[in-house]
Amino acid sequence: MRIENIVSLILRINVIVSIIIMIIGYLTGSNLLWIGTLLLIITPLLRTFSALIIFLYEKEILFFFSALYVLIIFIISALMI
Amino acid sequence: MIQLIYIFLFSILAGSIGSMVGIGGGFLMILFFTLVIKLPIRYAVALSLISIIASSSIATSFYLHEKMTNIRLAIVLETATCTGAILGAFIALIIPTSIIEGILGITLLYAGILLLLNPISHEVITKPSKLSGEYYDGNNLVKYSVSRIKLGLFASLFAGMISGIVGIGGGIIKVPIMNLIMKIPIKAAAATSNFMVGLTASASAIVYFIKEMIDFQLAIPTVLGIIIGAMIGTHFLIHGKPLYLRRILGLILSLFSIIFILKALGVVIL
Repeated sequence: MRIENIVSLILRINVIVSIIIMIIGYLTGSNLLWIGTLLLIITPLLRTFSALIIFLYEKEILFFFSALYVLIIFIISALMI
Repeated sequence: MIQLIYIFLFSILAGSIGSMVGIGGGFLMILFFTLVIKLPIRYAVALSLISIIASSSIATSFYLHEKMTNIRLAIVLETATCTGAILGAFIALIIPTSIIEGILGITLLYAGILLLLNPISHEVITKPSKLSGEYYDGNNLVKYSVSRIKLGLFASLFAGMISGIVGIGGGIIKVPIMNLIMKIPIKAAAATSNFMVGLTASASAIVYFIKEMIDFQLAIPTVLGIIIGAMIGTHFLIHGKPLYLRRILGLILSLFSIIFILKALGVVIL
């Protein structure tokens, strides 16, 4: 399976699962509402992480380190704010 | 209830436009939430970030399927935009935001006029590399190489800095950089930008989430509307003519340029 197809699948499943959890949370008045929202918020992080793993698996070292750098900067910037 | 329906319908519109030209559509959502729904600006920004993430994720899932998103190029450019965003936080302490907004406004105006006056993109086929891409536009196989990578990275660094200072996702800067500087076809540029804006929005959205500034109940119609909008927008990008896409983007950039120039001159927009 190509990297594009794997990341595409991860994105689609994650967003659909997030919105379903959010709706269930809203209807039941439970914490699932914010759990679903959090899951949605971290979707782009998951796709970067999955790309990182795939680049490592494919031995595409330049892109692996690029993705790793992006993830590190992401964490630093989230901590800085 | 009627308010939720308004949010749902507007989200469809913003999701369509944002995903079609790769700009995320967050600014439209902020305008709507502050001016129509009368939400405090911080809550409006939080919801707009959520909408960018949903729009970026759904649209990208479709574009990846069509091979229009160039993941390798996106990751490489993200190294520059992320670094720029961090630098921007420091530069904001030295240079007044109004000056940056003025520069951004003039740059967007220039890019907008270029896109409107030169409706045909001049893609250049250079030596193929790992960053090259190809996708089907209808029945035609479009192959492209990435030109002027160093200049593109440098411009992306500035784009990251500007978005860090001005507080925008940066899609309106990333698409022109890819199309006008790196000579990437408009469809691939918009699809790749769509992929990138989600990560920027995610970094900011986490902060709003931790500070409990997200209206979870309003998030549901927003996300649902955005998902439908993104499906419509991607359909237009995949099947639309590049000429029209460039014109629409040129028009949007020109409108944004006016907003930023007015902000730089002290006219309060939000």
